[in-house]
Amino acid sequence: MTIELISILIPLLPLAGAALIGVVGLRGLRDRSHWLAILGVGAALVLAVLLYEQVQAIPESEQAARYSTPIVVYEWFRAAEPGTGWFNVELRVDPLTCVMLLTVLSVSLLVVIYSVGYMRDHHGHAERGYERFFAFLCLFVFSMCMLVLGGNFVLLYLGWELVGLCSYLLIGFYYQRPSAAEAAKKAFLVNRVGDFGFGLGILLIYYHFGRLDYAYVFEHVGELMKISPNQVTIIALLLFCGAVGKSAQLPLHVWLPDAMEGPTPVSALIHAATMVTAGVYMVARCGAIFAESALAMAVVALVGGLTALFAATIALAQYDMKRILAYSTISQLGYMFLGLGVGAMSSAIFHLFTHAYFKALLFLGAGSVMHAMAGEIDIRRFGGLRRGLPWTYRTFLIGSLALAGFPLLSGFWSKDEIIHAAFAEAPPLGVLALLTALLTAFYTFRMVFRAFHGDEKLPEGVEHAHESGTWMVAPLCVLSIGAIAAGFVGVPAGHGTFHHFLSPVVHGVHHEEGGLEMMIVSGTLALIGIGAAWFVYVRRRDLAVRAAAAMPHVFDALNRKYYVDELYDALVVGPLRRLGRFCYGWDTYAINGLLWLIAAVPRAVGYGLTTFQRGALQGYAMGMTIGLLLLMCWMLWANGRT
Amino acid sequence: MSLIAQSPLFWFPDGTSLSNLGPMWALIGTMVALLLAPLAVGRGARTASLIALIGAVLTAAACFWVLPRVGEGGWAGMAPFDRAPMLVVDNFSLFFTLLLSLFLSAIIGLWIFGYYSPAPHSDMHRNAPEFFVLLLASALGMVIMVSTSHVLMILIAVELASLPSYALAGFDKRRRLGAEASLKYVLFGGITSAIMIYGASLLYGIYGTMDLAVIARGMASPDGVSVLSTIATFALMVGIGFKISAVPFHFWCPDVFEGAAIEVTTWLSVVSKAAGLGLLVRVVSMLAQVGIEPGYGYALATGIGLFATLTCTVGNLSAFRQTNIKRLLAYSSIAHAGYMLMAAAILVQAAPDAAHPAFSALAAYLVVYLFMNLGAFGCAAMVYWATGSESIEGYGNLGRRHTFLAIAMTICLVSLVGLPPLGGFAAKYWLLVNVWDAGMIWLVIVAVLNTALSLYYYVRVIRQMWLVEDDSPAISAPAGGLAIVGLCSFVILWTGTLAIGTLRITAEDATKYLYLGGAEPPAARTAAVSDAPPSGSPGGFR
Repeated sequence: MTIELISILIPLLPLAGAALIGVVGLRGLRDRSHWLAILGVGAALVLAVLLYEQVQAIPESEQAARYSTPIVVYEWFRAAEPGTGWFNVELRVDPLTCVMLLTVLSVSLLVVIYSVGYMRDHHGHAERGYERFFAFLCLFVFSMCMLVLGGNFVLLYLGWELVGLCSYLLIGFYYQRPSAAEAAKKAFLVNRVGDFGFGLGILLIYYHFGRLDYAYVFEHVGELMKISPNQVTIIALLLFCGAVGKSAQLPLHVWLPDAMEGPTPVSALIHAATMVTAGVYMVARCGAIFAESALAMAVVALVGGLTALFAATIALAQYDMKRILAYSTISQLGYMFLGLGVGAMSSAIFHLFTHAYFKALLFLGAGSVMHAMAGEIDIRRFGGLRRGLPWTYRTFLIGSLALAGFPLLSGFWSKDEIIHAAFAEAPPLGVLALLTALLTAFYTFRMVFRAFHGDEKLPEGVEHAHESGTWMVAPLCVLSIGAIAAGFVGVPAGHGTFHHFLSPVVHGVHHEEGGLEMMIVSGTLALIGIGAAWFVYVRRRDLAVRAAAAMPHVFDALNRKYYVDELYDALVVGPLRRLGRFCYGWDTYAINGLLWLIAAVPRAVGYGLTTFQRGALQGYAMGMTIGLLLLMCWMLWANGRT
Repeated sequence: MSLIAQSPLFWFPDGTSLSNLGPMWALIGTMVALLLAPLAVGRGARTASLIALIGAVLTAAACFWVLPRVGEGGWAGMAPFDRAPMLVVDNFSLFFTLLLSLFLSAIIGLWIFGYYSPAPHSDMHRNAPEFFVLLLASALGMVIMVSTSHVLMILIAVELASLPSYALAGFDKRRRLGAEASLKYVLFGGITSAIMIYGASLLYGIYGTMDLAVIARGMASPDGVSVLSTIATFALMVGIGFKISAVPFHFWCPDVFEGAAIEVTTWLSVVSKAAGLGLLVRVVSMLAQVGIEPGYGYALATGIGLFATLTCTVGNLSAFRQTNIKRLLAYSSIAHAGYMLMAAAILVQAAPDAAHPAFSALAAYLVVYLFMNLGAFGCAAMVYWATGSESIEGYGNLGRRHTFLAIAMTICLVSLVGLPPLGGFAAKYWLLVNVWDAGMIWLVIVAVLNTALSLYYYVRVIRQMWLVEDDSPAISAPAGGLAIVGLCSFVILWTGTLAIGTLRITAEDATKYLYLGGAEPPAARTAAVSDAPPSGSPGGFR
């Protein structure tokens, strides 16, 4: 099969799966609808592997030309102005696309398989909305594939909004629960803020370049830089706005923790491994634009670094396992942006790649715990589960070690590269990153020790903890292999297969000196963090309580997430709501009245016309004659006028 | 044989001419077969509908067969004794013929589903062979309307399209409304035909020819236009205005649409208008192609523009208070004729260039218009079959009673308004962009205001379907009919979103090569112009 055919089929298969599930679900086969999802996503994954093989086989001399020539599926529409060309449905296939596709599809397949077990009750009956869940999941996979495959900004934006829509639908999957509906709404609205900027950025690109396809824009961004560098910076910052919203960076991070209201597989797939990394992908894809503007790069790095630390501190004081993981996701995304900002773009993509596996693993593990604890996810309510849930425990431990940056596991390699690059570019940010690494190790193992170690404690209503079924455990095992081994494709740092593969399209940095020292430092910090967590939560369990009691304000601030939600409520939501109420009143009284008046005129005229048209021929004939005469007079007058 | 062929008294078209007219032969052959079949196999409705359907499909196939033979610039032929060509076959006429034959198949399909529906049979079902002959005859008339540049053929084609339509409107002899509608239709048709023929005779008197290309050259010459020629062109347009139910020649339209059976209404509302518009744009662009005299051009452009304004405004305003769905759709189709007339208005100012974008905009509009009207009328037909009601009241809570039908109807109606993301919007947007580019900004304003107006009455139906409480029982509809309206809704959605470019490319391809009379006139015709008024030479008229 050719690259063209494969790249067209990859998004289409999950889409077909989604459509067919809709049909099958209606036909009473809802219990079996997961097979279509597995088939669609699985086939897409196989194709993605084939695509990777073929892209890898492209000789170096042809690479530049092949990557920048989009695969035009068909011509879509043309702007009214002549000479601006068509907007096409076109796909761009290059190493970055391949990496993203492989990451997205492999995690998706495992999550789909996991969901088969997760979306059932203990008797094996499918939950309410089972087929809806799989249809949305397939739709999401399609959207994500379109996002990473799209060859111009229009398709990027469409994919961007489509994944947002799927995220909204899946966060609100349990729409009967008010909190889920609220969370879905919040995610959607907060993303609007970022997407507004993103949309403006794309419009600005169109304004300056007259076209929106990647190849043209990236090639000519240097020329714009010569004319007006400020415009390039503005474009980059506006695009970054979108990334801040989608990837939950400061100050738009508030939606992601709430998004955990959705089913856990959704949190694993969309809100940890794939969709939230779309922002990272976008910045890496637009690396040519960002690289031109030092200011934009600095902003990206700063936002990333601050978010990493900020979210890590909040994670220290949370009790909900999924929320801890959500803040950890925000923090890890911060790392990725830090990497992008300091110019180590391929390292950021590398971290995206490894993070997808271990974070999906952790979320699915948390889901397994939740499944066993009858929906309870608060680590104060249970403990010592390692005997009841042996497989979940083992895999969760591997994921945690990878997240904490335990030497030789996947997270270690990628995180270390970013920290190293940050130190070389901006030492203060490097210190920030190192501090975050320490905190990461601590809060991750705080969770592990409280949930799995110590004496067994079960929430009310749960008789005994029992391990999840094969549908759920098998993906956990596969993912833990990924969490252990995914990092080795990037070894040695900055020169591994991974970086070499990406090098034609994604900018990277190679700092030769000091690599080993940095590894030792960050590895040691991870060990210290784990050790500290062990000391506080296993050895001297009273220490944590005493520490919290000693600094009640600090703890409270962390536990309440620095009061950001309250702040937004007071500053943004409240005034907006008042404005909305005012607009509603204005609409009801002023505009509706005016509309009624406006509508009354045509209605009256229509009444007159229908009275006239009652079926009497004489009236018709008169109307026709008068009309004819008037038109004739007009024609003669107009004819004589010139 | 050869002696006869060379004699000035007899004339036979050559093989090329005959094969290029394939679609027309298919229609004529089907008609003959329909008339003869009852002698052989009896007056079975099933046989008749099958023959008609095959005929329609054959016509469509013939279009594809002829297309490569015609080539660039189109083909003009059937020119006895080297006089003016009577028939023209080019991309535009073939594209239109194809659309028409597809629509014809859909109408026959609707007829078949109506035949098997629980609704009682009418004359239309009992006398199937005659019904289909009339339908195909009017189709042939419409095909000729878009395939000619000769005034005489225009007259014949308009009559050929109209006369069977009169009979179709009153086909159900026992229905009072139908009889009344038919009579009104005949009366109006007669009057406008008279005006049209008067205009044609004036044109012949002034320019001494019936060939539009030659007339256009005559108009382009110094002192080529006069008050008389303005009136003559205008009178010719009246006949076309009647076919597309432009105000003030629209009075027949609501009564006929209400009185006729719903299949006939669908047929008349869409194809008859499309043919009229195809004819109009060809006439206008042929007159304009050789550099029209500015004053005359201005008068023609603003005249058609005024026509368009009147047509869509009156159509929309009259639709406001309608309670019968067919009448409402009738007024809506008047309004749409107004929008499409705008394309004709801008053609007058066109450069002598065959591939004017207004052509392709109109072609695209016609495609979408055809699907959305077929969908809307199809839904109305199925509601009628199930409930026997044609009033908007009968659509109460259709969303619950038949969700699929209600969704399809909603898509068609929203597209008729012209809202994104549906095909109606894409087509209208493109049309208005062309009007804007042509500098007739007031027409754009008229169209936009009218679109806002039209929202009111379309949404009334949508509201009735989704928001009004109604305890009437759920209804059932034939699967084939649902497939047709489903297909229509799909095409509308498709052309409005992912296939915007495809729609545009198709339309541009369809209008790429247009016969406009040829740049260099043949010697015989030049001579004919010079020695006006005509002599009584063999061959009669020119």
